[in-house]
Amino acid sequence: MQTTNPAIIEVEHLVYEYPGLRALDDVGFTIEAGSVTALVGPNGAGKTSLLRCLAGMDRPLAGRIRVAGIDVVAEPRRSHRAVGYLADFFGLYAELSVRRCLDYVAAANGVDRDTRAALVAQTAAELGLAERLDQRAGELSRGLRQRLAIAQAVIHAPRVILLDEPAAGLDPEARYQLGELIMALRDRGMTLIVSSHILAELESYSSALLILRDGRVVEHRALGVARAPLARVELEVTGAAESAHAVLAAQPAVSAIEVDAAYPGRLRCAVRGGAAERAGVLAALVNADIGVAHFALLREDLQQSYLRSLARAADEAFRDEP
Amino acid sequence: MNPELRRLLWLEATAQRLWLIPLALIGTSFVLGRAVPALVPGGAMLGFVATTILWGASQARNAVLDEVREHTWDIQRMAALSAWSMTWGKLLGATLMPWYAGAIWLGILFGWRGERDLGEFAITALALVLAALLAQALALTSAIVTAHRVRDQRARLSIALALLLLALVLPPTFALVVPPGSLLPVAAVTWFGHAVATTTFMLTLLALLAAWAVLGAYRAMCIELDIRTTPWAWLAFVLFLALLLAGLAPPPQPALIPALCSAAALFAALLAYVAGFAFARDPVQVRRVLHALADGDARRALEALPLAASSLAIALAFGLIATLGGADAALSNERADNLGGVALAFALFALRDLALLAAFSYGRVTRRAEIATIVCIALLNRVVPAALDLLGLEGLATLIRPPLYDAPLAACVILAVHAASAVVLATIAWRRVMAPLSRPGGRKS
Repeated sequence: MQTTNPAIIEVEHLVYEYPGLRALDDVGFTIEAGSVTALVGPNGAGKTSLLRCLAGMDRPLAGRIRVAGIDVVAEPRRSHRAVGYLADFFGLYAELSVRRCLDYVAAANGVDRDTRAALVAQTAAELGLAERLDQRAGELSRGLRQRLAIAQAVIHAPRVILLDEPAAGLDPEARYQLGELIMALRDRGMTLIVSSHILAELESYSSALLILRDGRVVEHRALGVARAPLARVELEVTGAAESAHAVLAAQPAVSAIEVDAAYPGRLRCAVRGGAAERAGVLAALVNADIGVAHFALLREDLQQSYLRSLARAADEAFRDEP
Repeated sequence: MNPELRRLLWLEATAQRLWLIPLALIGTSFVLGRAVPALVPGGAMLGFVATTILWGASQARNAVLDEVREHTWDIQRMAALSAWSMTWGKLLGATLMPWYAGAIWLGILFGWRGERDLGEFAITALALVLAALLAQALALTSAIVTAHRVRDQRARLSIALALLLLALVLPPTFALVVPPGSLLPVAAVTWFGHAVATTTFMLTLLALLAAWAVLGAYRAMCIELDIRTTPWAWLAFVLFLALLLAGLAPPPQPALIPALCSAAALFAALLAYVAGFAFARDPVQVRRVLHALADGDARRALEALPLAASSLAIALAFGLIATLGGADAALSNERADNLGGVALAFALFALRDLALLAAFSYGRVTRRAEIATIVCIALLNRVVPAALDLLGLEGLATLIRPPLYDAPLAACVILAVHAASAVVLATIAWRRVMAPLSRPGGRKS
């Protein structure tokens, strides 16, 4: 993926193994500072292993990880000051108050005593926990526990935050608030990687997509920008769809033409190339005296994009089979 | 203040405990003092053992295991605290209340010391304090080392199994390393020809062992926090034990180097069993070592080497040196012709048994690997030779259980064959468990 901001996470040839299973296989990518990356993939794709390696919690077999300029494999403890991590199965100190939980994590991450109290109050306010500071962590609701766990992960102002399935088990309102929170953290200049199965929510705040399958990166790209090589286009013609189909089929840049049976005159196709190629397709239709009422670039949602990438990866894997 | 210590202070030092504990302990002593005054000092010592040593050890152990069970261990592993801060913070923080109770017991003991002078009280108090520190540090170490069992939701190695293992491994070692009557003479201990008062010797030994236990907890914490270390502390501990034992040999004192080597080989072999059974046996770690060796990075290989393997290497190296150096007089044990050979034989025993453990761990009985290995050791060392003896097949029995003391060098040859066979089994099991990785995509089919 091409980046505009400086890279804050650099991963090269990362290999992580369990007995008899290569969870991460030659994984490499860079993440630009200030981005929110949606980490998606089927169960067992290696998402949690990747996040734990990035957090310096598990040591990879081979490869290089640099986070905020720190070699995570060589200096995992040092890297923790730059990284906040929320595990999928997190625990809290149930007997401690919210204030003490936050104070402990801040102190354990090297925040000095003079600034700690203010930092605890500020983080609690940002996470909507200001009213709960003296409540025991064990008495909080599931959503508030999640907020406290995230507050613990961010209180030392890490440059990178890794969230593993943060929305799991949350009700719709709490999930919405989580999205707002992630955007607020991004606005504070933090870089986030969020792993989740709830793609619709990831889409609302993610600026990049990283898809893993079978321990390999299937796709890594910026979101909100259609992939240059192959864009999906929807069009509506005034005459018979069959005529338009014939013109489209004659264009070398066009493939995967679909006629929408439910809406007469509506078609969808894939156009290889950029704006010039799409303009060429439109011109070909107009030159063939076909009335074009609608010609628009289809913006794939994250779910479609994810499924398409997985399908393509599966096809490629099938083709590679001896 | 150490954040970990402060957190445990918040949790442990509650107002209720701070006034309930003295009330209960002083009240009990007062009642006992009114009824049977002579029992108070003994009762206070027993109270110290129950609270500071036993409860303290349990608290130190739970300081880690509770974190793993409650999924808060990741918070601690993600913290930027150093391994040393984490170790002493936990060791002191988790045992604050047991020490609080212990201080009260010592106060009661001091108040009821009667005719005993201050020096005698100080020795008792120091011995109790050091014993408590040793027990707590050992408990913390064992919790850190066995945290992987809780994490993997595996049953802990039960006390009964651990005792069975010790019963199989310890007696011959103990018989060899502790010549009867040499360890605890009434008045003085002779160490390298110097007579040291028994009390001084035992207190010093206790203090050193407590220091080693704290260092052990720190090193185990380093491993758990993924801080790279080389096994120098392990080697130093082996040499410490060897030096301690060699110095205790009754006169005439043997030559220092052969004595040290044979004792070091014995202790390293014993510690290899401890490390082999206690630490996680991850086949990926073997691949990590091989990767580092393939890259020509000896330091990385040493950092990745499991402690059991380091210990075995130390045992074999010292055993070989002792055998070649002719350590026959090293420990003045009349049962053996060549104690160097015996030390090497022990190292080979350890290699065989731990290779069997690895084979079971990487094979199909992963979850019962320890039990399978202990059964196997029992069969090889006791059951099968006894059965063969009964059948009149003494020659064959010798090949299964070689004559360790009568012919140590022959025993070494037989045990080398045993060990090589076990290593082959372990290698096959390892290759089998790691084999699917060589397929495209690295997936199990």
